[in-house]
Amino acid sequence: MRRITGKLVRLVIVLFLVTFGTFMLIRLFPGDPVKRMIPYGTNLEAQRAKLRAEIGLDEPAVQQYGSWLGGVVTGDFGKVYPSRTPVSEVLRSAAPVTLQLILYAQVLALLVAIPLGVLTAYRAGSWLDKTASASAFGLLSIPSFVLGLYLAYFAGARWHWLPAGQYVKFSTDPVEHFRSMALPTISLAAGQIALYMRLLRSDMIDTLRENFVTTARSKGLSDRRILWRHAFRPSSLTLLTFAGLNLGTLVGGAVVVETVFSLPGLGTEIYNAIIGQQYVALQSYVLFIAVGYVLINFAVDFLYTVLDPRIRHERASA
Amino acid sequence: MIGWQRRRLVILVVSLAIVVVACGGGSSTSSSKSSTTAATGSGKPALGGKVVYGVESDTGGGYCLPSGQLAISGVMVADSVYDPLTWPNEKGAYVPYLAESITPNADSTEWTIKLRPGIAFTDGTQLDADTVKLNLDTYRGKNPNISSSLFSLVLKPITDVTVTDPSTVVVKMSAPWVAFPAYLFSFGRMGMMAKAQLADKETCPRNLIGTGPFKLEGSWTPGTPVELVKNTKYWRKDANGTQLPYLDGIKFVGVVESAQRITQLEAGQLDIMHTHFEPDLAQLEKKAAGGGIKLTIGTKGRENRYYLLNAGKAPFDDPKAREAFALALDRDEINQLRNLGRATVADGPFDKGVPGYVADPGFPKHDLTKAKKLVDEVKAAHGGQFKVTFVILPDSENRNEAELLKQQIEKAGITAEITTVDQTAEISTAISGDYNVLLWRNHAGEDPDTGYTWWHSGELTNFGKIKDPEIDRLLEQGRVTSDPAARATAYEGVTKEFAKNIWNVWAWYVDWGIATSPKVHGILGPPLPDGSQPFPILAGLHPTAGIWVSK
Amino acid sequence: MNEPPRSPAPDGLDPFDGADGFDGADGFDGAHGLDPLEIRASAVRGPHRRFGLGGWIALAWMVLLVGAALLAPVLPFADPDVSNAAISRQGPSSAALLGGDANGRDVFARMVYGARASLAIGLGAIAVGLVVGGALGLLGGYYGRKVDAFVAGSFDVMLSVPALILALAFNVFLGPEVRNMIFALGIVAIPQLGRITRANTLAWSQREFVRAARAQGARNGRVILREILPNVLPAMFSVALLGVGVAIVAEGGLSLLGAGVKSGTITWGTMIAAGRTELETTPWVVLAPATAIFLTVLALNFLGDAIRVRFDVREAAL
Repeated sequence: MRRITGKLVRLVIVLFLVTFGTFMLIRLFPGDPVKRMIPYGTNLEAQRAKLRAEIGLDEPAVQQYGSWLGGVVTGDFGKVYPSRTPVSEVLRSAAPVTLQLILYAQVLALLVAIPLGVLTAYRAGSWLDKTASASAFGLLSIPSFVLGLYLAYFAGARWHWLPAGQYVKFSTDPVEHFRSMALPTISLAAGQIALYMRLLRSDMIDTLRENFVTTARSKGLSDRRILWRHAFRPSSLTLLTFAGLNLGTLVGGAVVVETVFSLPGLGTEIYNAIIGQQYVALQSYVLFIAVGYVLINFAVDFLYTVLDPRIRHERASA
Repeated sequence: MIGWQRRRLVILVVSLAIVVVACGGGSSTSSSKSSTTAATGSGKPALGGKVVYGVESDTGGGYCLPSGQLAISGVMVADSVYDPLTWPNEKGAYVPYLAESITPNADSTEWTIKLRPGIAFTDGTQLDADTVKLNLDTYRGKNPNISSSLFSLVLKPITDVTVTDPSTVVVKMSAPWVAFPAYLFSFGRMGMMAKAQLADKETCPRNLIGTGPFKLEGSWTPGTPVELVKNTKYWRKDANGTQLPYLDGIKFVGVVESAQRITQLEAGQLDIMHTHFEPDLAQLEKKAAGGGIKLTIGTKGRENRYYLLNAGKAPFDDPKAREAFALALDRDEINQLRNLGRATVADGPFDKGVPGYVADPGFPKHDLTKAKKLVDEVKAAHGGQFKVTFVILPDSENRNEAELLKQQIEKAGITAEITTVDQTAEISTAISGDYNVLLWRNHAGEDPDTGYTWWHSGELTNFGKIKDPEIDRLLEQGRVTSDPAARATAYEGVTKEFAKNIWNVWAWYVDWGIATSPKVHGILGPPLPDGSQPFPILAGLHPTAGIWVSK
Repeated sequence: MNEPPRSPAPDGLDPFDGADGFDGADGFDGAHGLDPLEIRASAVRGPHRRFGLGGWIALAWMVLLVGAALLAPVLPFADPDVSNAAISRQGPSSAALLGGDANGRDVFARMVYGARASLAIGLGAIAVGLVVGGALGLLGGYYGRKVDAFVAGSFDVMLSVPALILALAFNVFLGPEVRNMIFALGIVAIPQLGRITRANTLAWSQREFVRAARAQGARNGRVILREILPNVLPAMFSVALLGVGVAIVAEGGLSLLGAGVKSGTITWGTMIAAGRTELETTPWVVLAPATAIFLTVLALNFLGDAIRVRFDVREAAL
């Protein structure tokens, strides 16, 4: 219990630091953001003063932080100028795309990595294992956006296997949706497949050496049963936890892969915000990602803490 | 983990996943292919069908027109939803469009705009003189509710806008303004909006209410594709009496890469696309020769690609520096590398056929030796320094061009730096003068009076801070003279003066191409209300009311 | 301080030892204690046991690359900025090994010159991470208690934001210069390298000979520098090599997001970002730097792993 409170306290501290950091972002940029947002027009100074008040740049920093945070909690992330589109609307439109990409990549990675990992652990040392391991090593080394560029060019532009550079909503056309997400997902998942496969393999090899496996074998249980029901289960928790922790790298990767494939997700919006010097919007995107990441990490951590003693207990008694 | 725990976790994760997928986000950047309902008759426009138009970018700023400075992508949308009071015909004259007539008084200091009867906005309100006055006042910055951008500066000469009867508006100027009808078009940026849209500053950018051939149905987020549907109550009919527009709908999708627009056109994801990138135009010409697509290139009144120099500060406040810069540049090589040599190198702002065009005004030709000499002289006069900063948009076209320019002038001894900014910041930079060279495109169309705001000393929109008394005099003359020959002479004088003082370095005339699938027709638009043909592709701009698709 | 229980198999992976909360007593503080470099390091376990052919090839590539980058101005490469209309938009030919870009510039030359900046950024960022992160990790791991709580806590907070986002924020804030990129990526590298140093320091601090040295009255500084650091160095270097690869990839990703170095400076990332829009018509402009990144990361992974194997770096890092 004390451990959990400790973690909660840490969560609050981290959230505070992260939000404060992103808040300070807009105030630390060189130049006057308001001047950039309203470069010309009638009643210039009056308009700028209004905007300054709207963003909160005319208040002292601490008060600004408070009102900004208050706005964020109620869902007011500010506006994109000069169209005055609420950033929350952009987030609502762009975030699901990025989340979908991350989700599909994780699913694909696990779907491919799990059987491969189990197989290579089972047949450790065989040519299959060596080939798979070598390929994994190669895949690990290829950055996701580099793979994305290759796929976009060869599979997309040259051979026209799959589309590259368009996005179709699931609600519009499910088949086209998955087709348009295929290449980006593969780009993002490839490195993860290698990662998960090798981690699972390592863990399984250890588990397969343990006493309870020999015992099970001597009892006459089939290899398959041992592999999946006894060896894989504890290792799967390791893998899932890794997958959860890996979300941070995946977020970064997804954001970049999106720009390669022109998907209208957070990556593209971040790009637009940077180019358009929309610091209010950029602040919100950064915040959204950072807080999401912190919360997910905390959730994974918490989940593990809850389940951990049982694992130990389960292993010990096996 | 224990069986039931794991099962619960799996269920939780899976349901979360389903939510994420189904919630679906973003907006589809492609849509199903266009379909037609009517068929028959080669040449006779068929009703129905939708097209997808691939444009350079999605307009992030929204369509509160007086506050915006739309690029061609946005103008195409704007002119599908709104109608301006005038429209250029193929001879380059600005004829009444939404207005029934636009008549000047004897010395063009007073213009009377008479509106057509019975035209309604898509929200049901009438197009009346009050609405037009509200629009004009907003454009010229007299509306405290909605801010006006560059329009307020350009429309400064207007002193008063009065409503004399429900369908007549009288505009008074401080001085004679012969080319006023051209300004009522403002390159398609001055559409007439309904009072309701202008009433609320917050919703104005997204609440599009116009009198145009199409309208926006439902909500729309700026920066995403715009899906328009037919305005069934559109005020225009074609020559046979058929209600316009022919299409049921048109969707504008921003596809930044020109090459990708071509791919999508061929794949059927796009029905129409535009581009001004010469290598892609070459590719399109080849495909058109093969019959796969149709291509129309605008060859008249082309806009000018030029390098805008900041004469307001060092080093370009020194005429020698400007001359050195022009001599150092090899515009033929630029044309060769950027345009595969296809474009026409420009020596002045006006295209051939536009009053003011001069075949050889004496603009400096590339001469590296002479350039080096002048550079040394400039450096001697300015403490050994001759450094320029290019400010450009971040796309690769601009970047590549800037890097080419940098490399060319470095051969002459001029050091350069390249900074990238986005469209809005670029205008802000231009006004503040925080640059030495801007890579600009401008001066499309037929009326050279539009150069007044850009070149007359003292104008805020005179980004280059040009101070040329001779140009001032000629511009003033051209503005007030109604005699076409006298105007032409005046503007020719402007071209020659530019060649002498090198306020800008003209690079080439920009070719805009509209490529369509073979099934798409009518992109040059239906005849204007007075029977004349609309200007054929003005820097990419063309009407959408006359587009139709065959089976 | 307890010594964390060791995993039975030499290359086993048992990340769930000693998860006992926020006293920082172990290198592995619960499930969220893994950072991207650690995950990577654990997975980049090459299929080889000795240096082997792969290692030599990797070394050769790096030597070749660094050599070419350093000596570029005196070697007979084309000028990367000069335009040559003859090779403009042409693919690989006898005139240009890797073709010419839209401006007629030699892609091969640009790739070599791009290596200069990209390698500088990668090496510079990791150097910052090694020095600062390493120092902090050593101090925290050695002194323990409050110092360690602060160090571990800071690392945790910095790791709470996805690396790309952190680098992005700093980069946009500081401006598009090479040195700012190094600084931004260096900041990201600090906690990642610091954690591993700290974990290793913790483990080594408890060893007999260290305790003996302290019992004999040796001063702390001396102990750290002469007893601990030499033993921790292999692990640090092994991970640092991986980190250089990650930093180079990060530079590429940031450039694609619009936060790369300014126009005029050639890096692999800016080459990719600039050539991306003409991927379909002039693919070599993008594929050359992309492949360079891939090969370099591959080589660095090999070398990093080789060092780990050579010095038999224990899993105390994890």
